[in-house]
Amino acid sequence: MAWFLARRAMALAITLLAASLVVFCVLEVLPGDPALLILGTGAREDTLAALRASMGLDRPAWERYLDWVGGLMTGHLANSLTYDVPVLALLAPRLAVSGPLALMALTLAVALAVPLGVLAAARRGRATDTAVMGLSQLGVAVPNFWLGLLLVLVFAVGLRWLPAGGFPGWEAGAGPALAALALPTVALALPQAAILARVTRSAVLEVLGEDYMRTARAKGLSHAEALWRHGLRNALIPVVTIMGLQFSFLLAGTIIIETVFTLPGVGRLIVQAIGQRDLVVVRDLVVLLAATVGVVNFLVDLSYAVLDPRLRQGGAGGRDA
Amino acid sequence: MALLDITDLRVEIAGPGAARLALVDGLSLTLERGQSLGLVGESGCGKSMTALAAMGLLPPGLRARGRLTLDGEDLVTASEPRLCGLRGRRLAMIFQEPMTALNPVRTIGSQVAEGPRRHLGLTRRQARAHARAVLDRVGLDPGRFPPGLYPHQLSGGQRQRVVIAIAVACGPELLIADEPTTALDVATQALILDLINDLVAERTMALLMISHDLGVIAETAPRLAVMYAGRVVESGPTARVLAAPRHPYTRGLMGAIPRGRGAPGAPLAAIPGVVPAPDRRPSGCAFADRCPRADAACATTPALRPDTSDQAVACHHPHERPDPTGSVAP
Amino acid sequence: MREPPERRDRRRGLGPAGWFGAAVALAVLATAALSLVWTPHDPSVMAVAEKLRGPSATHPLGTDHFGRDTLSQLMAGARVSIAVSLIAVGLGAGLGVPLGLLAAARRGWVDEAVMRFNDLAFAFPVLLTAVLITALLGPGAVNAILAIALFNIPVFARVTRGAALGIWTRPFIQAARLAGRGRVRISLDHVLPNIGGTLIVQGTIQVALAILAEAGLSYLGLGSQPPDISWGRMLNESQTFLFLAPRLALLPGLAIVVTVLGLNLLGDALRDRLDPRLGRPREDA
Ligand SMILES: Nc1ncnc2c1ncn2[C@@H]1O[C@H](COP(=O)(O)OP(=O)(O)OP(=O)(O)O)[C@@H](O)[C@H]1O
Ligand code: SF4
Ligand SMILES: [Mg+2]
Repeated sequence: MAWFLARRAMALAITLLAASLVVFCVLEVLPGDPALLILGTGAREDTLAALRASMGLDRPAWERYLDWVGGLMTGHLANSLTYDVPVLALLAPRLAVSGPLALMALTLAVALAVPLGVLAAARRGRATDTAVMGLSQLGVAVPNFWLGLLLVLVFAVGLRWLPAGGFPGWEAGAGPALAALALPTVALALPQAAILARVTRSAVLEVLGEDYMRTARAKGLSHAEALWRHGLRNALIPVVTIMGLQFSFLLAGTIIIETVFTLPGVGRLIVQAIGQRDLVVVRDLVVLLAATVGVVNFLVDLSYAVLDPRLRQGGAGGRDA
Repeated sequence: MALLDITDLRVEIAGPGAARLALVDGLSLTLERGQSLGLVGESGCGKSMTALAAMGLLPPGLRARGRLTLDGEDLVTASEPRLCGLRGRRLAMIFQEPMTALNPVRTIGSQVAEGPRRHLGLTRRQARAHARAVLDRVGLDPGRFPPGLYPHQLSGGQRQRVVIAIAVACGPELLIADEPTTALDVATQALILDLINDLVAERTMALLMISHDLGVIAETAPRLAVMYAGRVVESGPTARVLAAPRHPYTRGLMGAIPRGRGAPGAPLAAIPGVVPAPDRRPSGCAFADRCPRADAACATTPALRPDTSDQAVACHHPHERPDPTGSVAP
Repeated sequence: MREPPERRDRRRGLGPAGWFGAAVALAVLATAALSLVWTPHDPSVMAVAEKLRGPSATHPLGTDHFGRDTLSQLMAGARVSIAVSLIAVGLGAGLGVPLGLLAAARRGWVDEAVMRFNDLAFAFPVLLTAVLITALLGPGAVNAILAIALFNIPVFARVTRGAALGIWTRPFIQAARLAGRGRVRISLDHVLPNIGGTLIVQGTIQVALAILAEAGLSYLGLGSQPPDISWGRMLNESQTFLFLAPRLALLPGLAIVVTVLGLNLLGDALRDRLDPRLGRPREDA
């Protein structure tokens, strides 16, 4: 197990390194002079040169790459080109929006999908199953941003229960802040829940046919008890795997959902930074997102060990009778 | 009253119309309290379905009909909660495949403790101690095999001991063992059979021992029933049936009995042909197309008729009973 | 547990859901093709006097804020959405399938390299890739195609590799090996035809995903640019008038949902029918 995790950690490190290299190279060949961007086209050539020197742009690329990666690892990020504040300062308040949004969406998706998937499997072939599967087939086909627009139409414009967009900030209190995140959370969660419900259903169906479920029933456990105590944990293994894979879609979803609801989150920051050609911000954020995806998948691997003892102790094998 | 009384049991594939297929087709047998009965027959003849019907655990899509009573209580019509109260408590089952019968993600101790906690009203702690004791009894002494082990840390024979521990943990009156040794190697088979025999003797359980191996039956059950294509075709005291089988199918089986312990589970090669699938059974006697004695009379289904010496046979032309002088008729 | 008989012959025909999916896919394709030669009105002609009209005889689905005919726009939008998705998935498959075949045929370090490349690509969600590409090249339909294609390469590489590995263990392949055929020839002559079903199934599902991705990119303003019309762009433009004319946001969204739903249903039905590896319903309790 330790060996397995060490290997996964190594793979994660290599992936991130490669990702940073790709991002750096891509942005390196990008036309556009950051100094010119900051000072404007009217700037004098010697001021530009001085700024380039102070930003280190005259140094060789590999040196700047090492600086950047070193900075990323020690938390010393460069200044944004447009705002001239450290990226970290720019990022922190945005993370306070995007982080909770992604987490709440993930929680909601799981909270909806797992019980519905289990229910559908337990009622396989009956009306409940057909209804859940039909809904999930629909949920998979609905673009999350369009769902966001629909939710705004119904709950903000029509019923006036929740705000249509914007974010009052956590200073305004948890109530208004959560109200502002409610519709985005739902818009982000439902399509994810649709996918997870399908996966859960087939995982549970698979587990229901296992011999140990019959053993559990032979002890006197009811169908539901056997499913709950013996089936669920085994069924969760594939569910968690898909959750890990879906997480990158969830993050990408925040980019677009934050635009729908004009939330000041990380996703909007990226879109804005691209609009403003603020390459310092772009490259840091892209690597940050890639790292988040990588770390989440690492956590998924860790959770296997929690769920499945066979992975915990590397194959002790059967002892002799 | 017999402990287990099965009369005219049918296990059908649930479906519309009269074309329902019967995997078990009019099976009858009785098992007295504390007695052991062997059930033999070739693969696919419906042994497991009979056992699962008794447990009320038929796979989805299958349904039991007929009478099936435990201590006078009808199990076919019993409610599901009632069955849950009986399973594990009064009747229990050992399964064929120890490698898959245990939940891979739960410790063996917790899997054994689950039944006692439910049926015997034990606290968590008491149930755990009980599980330890039962595991110790089936040969997994807690020093070498702590209850915190997971199934994958055990060998096949040890896992089968855990399965046995789960089955006997609440002291059931009826133990059904469905080919408990088929998946094990020869040396382990003998050990597991001995264990089951010992447990049955010391707890005065009734045992329904299912096997396709007459050697296993001879060793565990004083009475036996021979199954063919979903029915019992011959039954009686094991020694007498084996000494003088009257049904042509039983004769064939005898020819296929493994020599000693050397070749367990060898195919029943002595009988030409194979068991017909449930949807291909000839009408009348299902054995007719493999039977050397078949004639026109065999187009009607023979009933299971007891003779005067406690042996019963379902055949129009059974082999003769040996005469009292001891010489066997040709 | 043995397969209960009621499921034994479920792999004949597409089933009602599958046929519905096939019909939707055909209808969308036909609409896109039709829009090349005919739409009720010119989808990009503005008539400000006619702006934000509700449905009428001349404009069955009404008009937008520039007075453009919504039905015509939807038809033209189908063309862009479908074209972008098909080209992107085609490109992704064109690169991913050979990579997967190569990884399966060569194993060893080639396999390892392909799989690591996959991991890397999976770390970047489509939108992120698209964001980078637009940062590099500026927004536009072509760049959206690039981004979606990039995302599809590892998907096809992985699926192809998995399916091909299964084929390589078959006896007839071993026989071809012994007969001295090269790995490339075997891959093309024996492996590829045998995984065709799997690839078609995956392709259907990927086109559905691509339509969603294209819509997302265009909605963000990173995909097709005016005067090109796509369903995502229509949604983008509709947002300003969400309160005034919700119809403008509903219709393109519905078009997306129905198309994607149809493709997914078709994909599922094809999977049951064509794909021996994924298709066996291992759901029997
Ligand atoms: N779920 C099912 N649906 C339909 N038929 C089934 C099902 N499970 C088993 N059968 C059929 O029922 C018949 C009896 O099966 P059963 O498992 O009782 O045989 P068995 O005597 O236990 O054989 P074995 O020695 O192989 O365990 C077989 O012909 C089998 O094909
Ligand atoms: S009834 Fe006829 S066919 Fe059947 S076993 Fe007896 S003799 Fe053979
Ligand atoms: Mg069996």
